[in-house]
Amino acid sequence: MKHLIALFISFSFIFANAQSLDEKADQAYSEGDFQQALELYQQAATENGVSSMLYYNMGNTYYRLDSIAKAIGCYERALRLDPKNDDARANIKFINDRYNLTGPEKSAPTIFLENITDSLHPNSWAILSLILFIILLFDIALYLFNNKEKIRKIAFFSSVLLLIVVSFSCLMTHRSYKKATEVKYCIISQPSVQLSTLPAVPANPSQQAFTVPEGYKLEIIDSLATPLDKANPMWLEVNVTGDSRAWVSVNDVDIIR
Amino acid sequence: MKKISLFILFLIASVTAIAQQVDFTIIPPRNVVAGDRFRVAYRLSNAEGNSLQAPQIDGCTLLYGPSTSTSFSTQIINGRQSSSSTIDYVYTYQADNEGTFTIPSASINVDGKTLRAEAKQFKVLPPDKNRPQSQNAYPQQQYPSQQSVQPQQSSTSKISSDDIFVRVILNKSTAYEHEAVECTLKLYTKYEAISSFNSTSLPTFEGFLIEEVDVKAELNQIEHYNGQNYRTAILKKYILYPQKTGKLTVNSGAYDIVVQQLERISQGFFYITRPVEQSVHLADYKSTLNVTPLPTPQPEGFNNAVGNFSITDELPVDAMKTGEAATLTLNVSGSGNIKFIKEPTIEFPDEFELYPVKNDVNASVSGATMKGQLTCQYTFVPQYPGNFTIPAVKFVYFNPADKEYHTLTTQPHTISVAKGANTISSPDSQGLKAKAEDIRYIRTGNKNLSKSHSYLASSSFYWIAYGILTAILISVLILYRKQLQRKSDVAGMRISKAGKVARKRLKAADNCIKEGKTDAFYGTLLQAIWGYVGDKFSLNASTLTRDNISEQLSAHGASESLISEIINLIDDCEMARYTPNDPSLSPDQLMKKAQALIQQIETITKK
Repeated sequence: MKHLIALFISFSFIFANAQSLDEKADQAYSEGDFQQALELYQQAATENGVSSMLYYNMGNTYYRLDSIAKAIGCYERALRLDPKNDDARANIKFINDRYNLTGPEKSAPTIFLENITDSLHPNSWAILSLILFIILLFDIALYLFNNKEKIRKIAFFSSVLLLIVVSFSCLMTHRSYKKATEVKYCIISQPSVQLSTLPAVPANPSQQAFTVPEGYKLEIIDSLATPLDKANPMWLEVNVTGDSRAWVSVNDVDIIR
Repeated sequence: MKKISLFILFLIASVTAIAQQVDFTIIPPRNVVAGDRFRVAYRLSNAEGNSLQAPQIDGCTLLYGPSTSTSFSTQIINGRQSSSSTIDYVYTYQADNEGTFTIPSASINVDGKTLRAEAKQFKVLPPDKNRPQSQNAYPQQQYPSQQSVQPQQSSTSKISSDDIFVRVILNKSTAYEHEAVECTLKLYTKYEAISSFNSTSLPTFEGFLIEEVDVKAELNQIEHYNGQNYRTAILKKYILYPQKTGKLTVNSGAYDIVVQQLERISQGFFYITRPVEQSVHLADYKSTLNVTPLPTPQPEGFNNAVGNFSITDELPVDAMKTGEAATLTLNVSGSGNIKFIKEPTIEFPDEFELYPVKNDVNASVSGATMKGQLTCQYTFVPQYPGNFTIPAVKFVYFNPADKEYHTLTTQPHTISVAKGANTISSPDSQGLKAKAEDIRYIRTGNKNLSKSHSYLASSSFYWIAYGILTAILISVLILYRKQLQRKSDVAGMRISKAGKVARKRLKAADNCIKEGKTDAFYGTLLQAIWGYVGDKFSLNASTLTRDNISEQLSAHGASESLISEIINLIDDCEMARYTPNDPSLSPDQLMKKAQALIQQIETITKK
């Protein structure tokens, strides 16, 4: 009997050990120990790598710990890895609505195009484009090598249509790939940041461009490197409201990369 | 002294007299100043009495009494006759000292029964400080219903500010915010009569919510103030609720008054007094109230209710159907700023549709504060069936008396809602509404963790693949095109290949010479020539005859000698083949001849 218990304990120990870091973190989260969950998620990220889901869970943990900027940063990274992660998108929207962080409004065509871009993973887009291209080639071959007038007609029009579709799909592949890899956005990481009209700390009120709250998403347009360290730009030129630009220090933002 | 007033009404037909309530009371004197005489009356209503037992008042000297006065009245209202009679037994006393005195209980015998009158108290005011002593000797008024003393106005014709003024009297000097404060505007005067009274500016109450109390302005009360006796009248009465903290000022307003001043005129040996009208302007009188803020921290749910309250609530139903309306009634009763209380909010379940709360305040002034009841009616209509709980109502108020916050709570109500007949109407239009929103929950399970995240689009091979595929298509296309061309022109191919094939065969024949196979040589050579001509002129093997060849050659413009040479060559070859031992020409010669001839035909056909 004693042996049995010992066996059971050792089994349960093995089982507990078998639980991966991220699963342990999930458990800590569900038990409400968010600090512990965060540490475990970070450990999992350094040891086993990341994924969209991991970033998403990390974002939730940061939100529970009241770090809005870090939460949004995590969600953005989750979306970079998997643009189909609707949960991350929903949570960003929730936080933006709650803390009034919604940025400039996008036009309807832009939103439409972005929705299409985000509907597939970049690699899915790539494979889809290639398959469509191969179909197009076969269609063209059919048109060229077939003698029957009817089939040639159908093949001609369908290949014209396919050519348009393939071009669009390639464009989407490119867009979604760019979106996944480009360093284009940054999140304000300080409670409140004073943007300046020039790449330096504003010396007087006339150089203060915007006051931006924590968690606000800014589009990076350009960066200004200090002469000493070209690799780490000190100041970023950012697009704030859609058409007005300002400068922000690298130390005040979390660059999504 | 005896005064009898009798009213007799003669009536037609029978009128029944209704017996009136028998009553025995003491009527205490009013406005007594020390040193004056006053009258105490014992009034017996609607009865005849005897053997009055009226004990002495301690501290006052009985001068004389009792004197009796009787009055009788009959009235008919709507055909009902009623009559009443009163008998007053009046004792006259002299007040020796100021202070409060008690008229002890008295008894009287009516028809064998003893009636008792309750003891009453009255006040004796101190005399004016500057009042001449000699005047004590002359009693001026005798009836208790009228003034027994005359406040003494200054004898000069000039009116001093001590003679007439308006005071703002607050019942407390410090108060909490929202605490009820009684404010009385009182006129003090030494003049007997006021002919006109106009207010030139209204009283102001900055920083207060005010509630005016109806009072009748009457000059009837004598009051001792600052060592003087004044005739007073309450002009206005308010209940004030301070809304700000700090020193708040109440302004009495300004008044224009015309008074009748008694002027003493010397008529030789005696003086007469006559009234002279004088107009006075009374300037503002200010009174300040120190308002202290309510203690902090204020408990949650406190809504500026200050006073002393109690709450009750009532929900008549505990089971209902969806779409039916029910009303939760909440009663807040008590004293304080009840008119300005906001109804407590009740957290009804979200499934209930709520109507605006109906508030009804029923309050009246009682003493220095407002007393009454606030009735709040919360009407709700459940939209979904189920069991719901209406949480307890919390009402928080501050009691200035014990300087503490009090929280009153009611019992929560549970209500079961059944499905009603017409539930389709309202909830559909609103749709489902989230009760609370939060971020979505974490994703559990395998997260596909990976250290490298590569993208197909990032590799150049991916984009090159498009080029390769295109190139494959193009090359296939080109090859196919060529194939097609050749297929479409078989004869052309034969013609173009004729020379090539002939040369090949000649070469094979040449090899035969070298190997010494003369038999094979002739055969091959013949094959080369026949084949060449056949290919060149698109002739089938069946039509390949010497005549046909010469015809075709001449058609292509070959000379007669060339034709005969070719025919000769064929003849020679055939001869040599079948008669091997007698060769007229050597294989080498034949070979050269064949080569030359094929060359010649080539040049002809290319033209």
